[in-house]
Amino acid sequence: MLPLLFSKLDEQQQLYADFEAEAIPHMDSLYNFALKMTGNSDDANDLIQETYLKSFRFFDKFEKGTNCKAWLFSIMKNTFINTYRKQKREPVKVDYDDIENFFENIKSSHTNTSHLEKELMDHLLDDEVTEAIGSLPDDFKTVIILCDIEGLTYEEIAVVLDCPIGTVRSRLHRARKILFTKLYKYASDKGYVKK
Amino acid sequence: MKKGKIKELITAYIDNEIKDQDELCKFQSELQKNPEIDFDLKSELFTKNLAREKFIRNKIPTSVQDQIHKKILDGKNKTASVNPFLRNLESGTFIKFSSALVIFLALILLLFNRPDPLDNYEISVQSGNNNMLLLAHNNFEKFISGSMQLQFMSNNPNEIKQFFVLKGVDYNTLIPISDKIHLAGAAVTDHNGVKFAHHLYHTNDGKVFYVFQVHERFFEGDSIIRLSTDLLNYLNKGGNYKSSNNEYYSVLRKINGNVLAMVTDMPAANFPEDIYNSK
Repeated sequence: MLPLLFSKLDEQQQLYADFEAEAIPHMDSLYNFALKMTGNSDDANDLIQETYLKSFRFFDKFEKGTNCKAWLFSIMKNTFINTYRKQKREPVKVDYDDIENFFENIKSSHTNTSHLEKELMDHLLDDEVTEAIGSLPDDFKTVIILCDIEGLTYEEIAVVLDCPIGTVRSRLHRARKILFTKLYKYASDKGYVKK
Repeated sequence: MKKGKIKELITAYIDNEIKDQDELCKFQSELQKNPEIDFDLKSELFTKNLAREKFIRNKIPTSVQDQIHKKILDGKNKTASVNPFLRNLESGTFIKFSSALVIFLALILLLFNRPDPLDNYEISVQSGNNNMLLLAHNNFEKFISGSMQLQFMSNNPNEIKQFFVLKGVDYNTLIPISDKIHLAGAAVTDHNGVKFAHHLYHTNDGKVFYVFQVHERFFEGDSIIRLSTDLLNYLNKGGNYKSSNNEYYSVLRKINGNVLAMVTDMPAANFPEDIYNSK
């Protein structure tokens, strides 16, 4: 029995070494996601701790060779929904028809996109863009973070969100349009954009 | 190409996610023909770049990182710290007896501390085109959007059952009853010649409750519909596999030999759990 126990202990050491190599390097990405989802550092600290403890507990279920970052995001999303979302009051809502109309107006008044791009890129500050992303409804914020910031594929995002790839694509399309409109309105109010 | 389709393809094109070469060629020729979509493409590409370049990435505070390491190591060392002690026990009869006792106690502790066998988190993430849970989510969305419709309307469970039989569903179906939901109707889908049963309920406040049920034999061998083995084992032990996103809540459960995937936009707290008692 002793050799059996020793081999179990060796297995556990190996599991921890694998966890350190695979999961620990993604802490910053997960922390940023937690910050954006919870909206405050206290809850983000709790959420990331809970996520990492759960992921270590079930690391033997992680399929080697698949994307560990996507797996961790998936655990964090479920933990967030089960624990923190219940405490939130009213979710952020967006009238997408308004966004579409506003977008069409911008389109008709700006034929030169490179000019508009330069104005926004040069003037918008990092924290203004970060704040705009943070103010998106959860569904849209999540796809922007997972795709544009963390570089996950649609298939990986679909697994994290537990939804079809088509939903990821349409949600991302809407999310970017809402974000663009928000940034444009902000830049316009600040006088960064010449109409 | 339809306008809505083009707009979504713009997104996939930017992310290099149009996998079908024909579709890619069609989209590229559409781009050349239709300068109006140029603004959509450039504004979306630019928004993606802006998000990627200007999003402020915070570093996890060292104190939080240390806490995580400490908690993980604490858990790990509970068993690992006995290692050198146990290694010395390998000599001597008395010591062998003592070590057996220690092992016995350790096994008892392991038994008591192992995760709950019905804990959702033990289940691997479900994926694949023929995964029952993902199909159920997909169908639910289709019902909500109107792209999938009821083929038979009735609030009578027996009529719904008859409809399934008439449409070629070759397993016994279960039409659960609850005071919280009202039966609306049913539909049958065809997966490579096999007919599957779907039915819908509504609530007094306009929410939808969808049930997709499949007999357990369809998960055997080279099945046309699947769930991960650990999830099937979990359901066989009587577990309820619950999952949710921002829009809906779902539960997988095995009842009378059928696996039922139930998806609803009702709040999780209002889920009609009394349906589990239906025969």
